[in-house]
Amino acid sequence: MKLVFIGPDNARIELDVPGGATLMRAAVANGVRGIVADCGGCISCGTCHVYVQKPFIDRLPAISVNEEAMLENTASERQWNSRLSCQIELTEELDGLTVNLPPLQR
Amino acid sequence: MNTEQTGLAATGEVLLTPQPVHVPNDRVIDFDIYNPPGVSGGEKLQEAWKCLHKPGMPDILWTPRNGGHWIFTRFDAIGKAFLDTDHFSSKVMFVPRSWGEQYKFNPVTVDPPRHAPFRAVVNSAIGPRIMAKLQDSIEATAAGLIDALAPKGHCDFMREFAEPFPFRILLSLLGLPIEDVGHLKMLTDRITRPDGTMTLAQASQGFYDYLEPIIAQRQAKPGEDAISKMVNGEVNGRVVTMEEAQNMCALVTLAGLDTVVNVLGFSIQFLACNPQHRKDLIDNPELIPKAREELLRRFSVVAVARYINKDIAVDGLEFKEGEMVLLPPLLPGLDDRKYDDPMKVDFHRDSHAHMAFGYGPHVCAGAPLARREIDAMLKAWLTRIPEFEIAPGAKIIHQGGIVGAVHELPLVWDPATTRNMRH
Repeated sequence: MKLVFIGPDNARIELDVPGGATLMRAAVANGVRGIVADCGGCISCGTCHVYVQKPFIDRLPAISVNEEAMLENTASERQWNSRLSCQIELTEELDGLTVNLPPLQR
Repeated sequence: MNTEQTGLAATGEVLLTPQPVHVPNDRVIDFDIYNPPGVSGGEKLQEAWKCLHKPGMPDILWTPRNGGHWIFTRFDAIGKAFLDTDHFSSKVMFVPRSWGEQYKFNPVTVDPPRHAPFRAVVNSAIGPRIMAKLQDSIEATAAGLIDALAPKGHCDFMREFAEPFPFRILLSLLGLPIEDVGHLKMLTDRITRPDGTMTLAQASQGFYDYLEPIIAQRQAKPGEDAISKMVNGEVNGRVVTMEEAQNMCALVTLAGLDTVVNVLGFSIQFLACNPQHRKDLIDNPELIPKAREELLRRFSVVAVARYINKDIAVDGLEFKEGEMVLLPPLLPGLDDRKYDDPMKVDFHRDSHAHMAFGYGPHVCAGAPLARREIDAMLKAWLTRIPEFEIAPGAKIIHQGGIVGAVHELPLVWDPATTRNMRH
């Protein structure tokens, strides 16, 4: 499936990855530097923050209590479409998923 | 039994624990985290730990020191264990186990899923959002201290910068008077590098006694400081208890008064001896974030452990409930399977992946602060005191422990080479 990351400088990174993993794992495994993921996907560090573009934002599962708290403490300000990429499972309906990377992860 | 086996370490633990039958002989090594081989005689800390990666050495070892415990030595295995909190619990996270059992500073000693709401409270007080806003004041504090030192031409870097710089930042963040820092630092050091004068429980009690009236006052009348945020934080729909508040505040205090101090020390010791690396950073200040990660990789200082919560087999070895496994954050960055020439400091590496701040749910909550402190030091020091060296004749002694340390670091420089940045 296709994934698109758009950096704060508008640099575009496109990946073609197998589904199943999380967006964070796919990004880290493919060297997307804008995703840091210091804690390895435990909702502890807030350093895999992304802004998810439409229409994909509406296809994601609801934000958990723990993710909600972490999004309030990310280094870059939270926006209406903020999510933690470790909480996004790459299912079929997310093919083409496009996210913007925040200016600061930590 | 010889006399050494019957003696006691500074933690109160017997010096040597008999080898359990399920530990194969080829896994046994004599390694004491509180006194790694050669360190008391002048060997550098990370070089001493590097003996655990010697060719032919198995990846998982067992030492009779500190109550007897396993040691994981490699990047991948340590990372995996930090994520597997079902088996590798942090309810006891220091060796010896008898020492770690006295340590109750939640949330680091609480396993998921109970851990998350407490971590969220800590993040609300010292997390990335708060730290991004503190950037300027961190830089100004570093600059102010160095401006005062530069004309002197010499200092003990540990006492005159590595300590006062993060101490001022932390005490201001917590809203505590700076005069109290000596007492809090003493309690911290008794926990991370025990000297036999105090048990861990006694040092913890010192934190609790100090914090209790402060917490009560800030629950009654909250301010903008990090303690106020933590002690009025909510977990699972209720306000934290006094005991939870004491432990959270003690944890943040202890963590902010020791680890970064020593990372600053090791980093400046390296830079004092390596003018080319200094020049690289002075000529290319945009390299500082990469240099900071490389210094964290190469000069990690922490040696924490996990408690086996239920039996598990790894690498053909049996780990039994109640045993302790050291997962030293100090080692992954030095793994030669991850890095060519891992002991070489190279600010231009493609990757500087390390676990200096741990990994998994308990990854250091203060990392965003520590990273800013390291950056601020590199920037402020190198622009003001670009040329410096270790005082001639000085022998730099490191110390082992839960947090490794630089004891003293006397530096000298010619004040004529310094730059006055004050306007």
